[in-house]
Amino acid sequence: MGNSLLSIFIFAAIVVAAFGLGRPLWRLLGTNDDDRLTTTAFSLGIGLTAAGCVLLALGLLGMFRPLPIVVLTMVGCCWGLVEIGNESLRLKTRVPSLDAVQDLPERPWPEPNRLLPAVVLTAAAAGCASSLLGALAPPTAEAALAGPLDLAKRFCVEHRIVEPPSGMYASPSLPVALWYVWASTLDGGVCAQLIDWGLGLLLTLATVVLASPLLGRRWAWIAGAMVVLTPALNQQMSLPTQYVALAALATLALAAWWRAVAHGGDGRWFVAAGLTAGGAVGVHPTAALLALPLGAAWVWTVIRRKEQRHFLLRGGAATMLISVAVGGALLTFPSGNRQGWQGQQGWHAPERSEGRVSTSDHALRCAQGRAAKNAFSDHLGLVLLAAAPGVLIVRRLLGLWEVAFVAVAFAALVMSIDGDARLLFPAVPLLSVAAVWVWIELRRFPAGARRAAVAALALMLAVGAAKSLVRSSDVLRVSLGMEDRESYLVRREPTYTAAVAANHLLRPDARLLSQDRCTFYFDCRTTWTGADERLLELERSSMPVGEVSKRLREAGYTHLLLAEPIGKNGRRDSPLSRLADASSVLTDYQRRDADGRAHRYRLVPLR
Amino acid sequence: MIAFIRPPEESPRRSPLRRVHGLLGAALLPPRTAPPAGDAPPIAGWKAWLFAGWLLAVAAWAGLQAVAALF
Repeated sequence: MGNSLLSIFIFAAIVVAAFGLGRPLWRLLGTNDDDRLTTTAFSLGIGLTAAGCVLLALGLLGMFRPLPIVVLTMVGCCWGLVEIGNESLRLKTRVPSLDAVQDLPERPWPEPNRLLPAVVLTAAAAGCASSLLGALAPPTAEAALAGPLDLAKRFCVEHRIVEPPSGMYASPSLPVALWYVWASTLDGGVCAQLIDWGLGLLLTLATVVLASPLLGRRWAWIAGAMVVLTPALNQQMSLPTQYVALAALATLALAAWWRAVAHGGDGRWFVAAGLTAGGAVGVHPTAALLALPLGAAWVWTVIRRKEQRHFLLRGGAATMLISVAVGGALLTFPSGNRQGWQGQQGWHAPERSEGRVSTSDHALRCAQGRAAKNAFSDHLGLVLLAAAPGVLIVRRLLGLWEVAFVAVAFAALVMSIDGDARLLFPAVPLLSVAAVWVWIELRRFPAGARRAAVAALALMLAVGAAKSLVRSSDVLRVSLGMEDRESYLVRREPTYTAAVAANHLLRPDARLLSQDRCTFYFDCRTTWTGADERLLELERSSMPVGEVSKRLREAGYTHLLLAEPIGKNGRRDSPLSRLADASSVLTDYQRRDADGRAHRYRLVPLR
Repeated sequence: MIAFIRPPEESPRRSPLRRVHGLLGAALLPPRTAPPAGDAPPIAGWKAWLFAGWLLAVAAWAGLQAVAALF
């Protein structure tokens, strides 16, 4: 339990430091918004982007070491505490501004009764608690260990930002990797997962900010709660990947854009939209696809509102310029990420990078592909997908059609280009707004139909919450400290035993060649055989053992980790296997991975 | 001299064409005046039951999927 509490404490310090960085920037932007929730959400979003820029500078200077990161975190944390104190004093004494009053017009529909928010928010709290339990367990999923977390570990080992091997990461995300460097330096993989969990909460806040002008604050909270209850999103909140960050920053950008264009707010909202949209594009270039439907909606608004044409044209141009500058810088800098961008042009990871083990067979790759591109309903949320057609029979809410158009067009673009359903997450808050409006309109249904519809929606929400609770039962013991992290990792992560041996026996300057791509727990430099075409050719060749060893040593490798499938799909006679047979073995054991496939792991020195 | 003309008698039943026209108009066109605050007209019963049936079907499917995943 102590480990979990320490991780939560360090995560809280990171959040406060990000707020301390973002709050002055938000004040500098001067959008004159007195709403505490909006201020918190945008301060955190902009603060995280700014923290990414500070870490980028540290990485370029070769200062990814504990001391500068700890000192900067403490300074940011102290400043964050001062900002929080100031904020609470200001909010106690202030008189609401005219803008704040105008943001809350009387709406021609009643507020939800007390029971509904209580039930939905309780279900959302249960979903958040289950994903928190998942985040408190050490990372073992392949998506976690072979993604931005591994890139962050690579930066930490080198103490600087380095170019990753070209085929190693399907979609390297520099800002996310930099946040994970921050978390990994202060704590470890668990804290990195907590950052992702925090980004899920930020996504909820961003949804509330987006939905408030449309639906009113209390209904907006229900929209936010329904986002957290989306099964795949809830699951991703406990995995250190880039998808939740993409959704959170994209939703903040949409909220700012909505305030500027549809709500006729201050022109500085355009700047906020540009900054957060740039951050979202930096996290994953899919966010740029939002520009197409938003651009179409913007053109439509420019045509309709002649009196605001100049304001809208200037604002749109400013948003575009800022987002291109911020997003472009994060995508093309440093040079290593340019390769990632080129990889993303095709929107597919190289085929060889889809397996955990480079020698894995086709069936394994297919299984992992299915796992990554799970059911459509899981990723967009069954409740939201089921309720969305209701907009066809209810009244038109001002602005709802724009929201629905952006969601549908974005989803169609993503699915036609890639097909990875996790990239649809930015559409979830938009669908949630539409679903809540349908829920509001249920009061106009005949009593029987209303009761049936509410019962069906409640059942779907309950199933979603129950699914997330059942999923967390796996990690309950380790998250609550009833099982220590070491024994959990030995049980769950096949490479962990080899990593412990390597971390005890190998020198810090050792360089490991691994057939398993999940090498996060190794302290030394590692390379996955599947990341390099020459290494794959070496595996397939019939070269003598001595020649193989010589070539690998010439390439700078000092040790080799073999991960050979055993059982029905048994091992192949590769030069690397023969090399291991002829060498003295540092560790030799068998483990089953998450798919139930057994592998034999051998750690051997190259002589 | 004033001629007393008998006014035309109103048809006791609406023609089928007029009824279809009315139904289509109600379904497709927005109301002519905005509904007053808090006093929105009810949604037609068949539309409401169609949507509620769709939600019930999806919820039943989700429930069965969840039960199937457990066993």
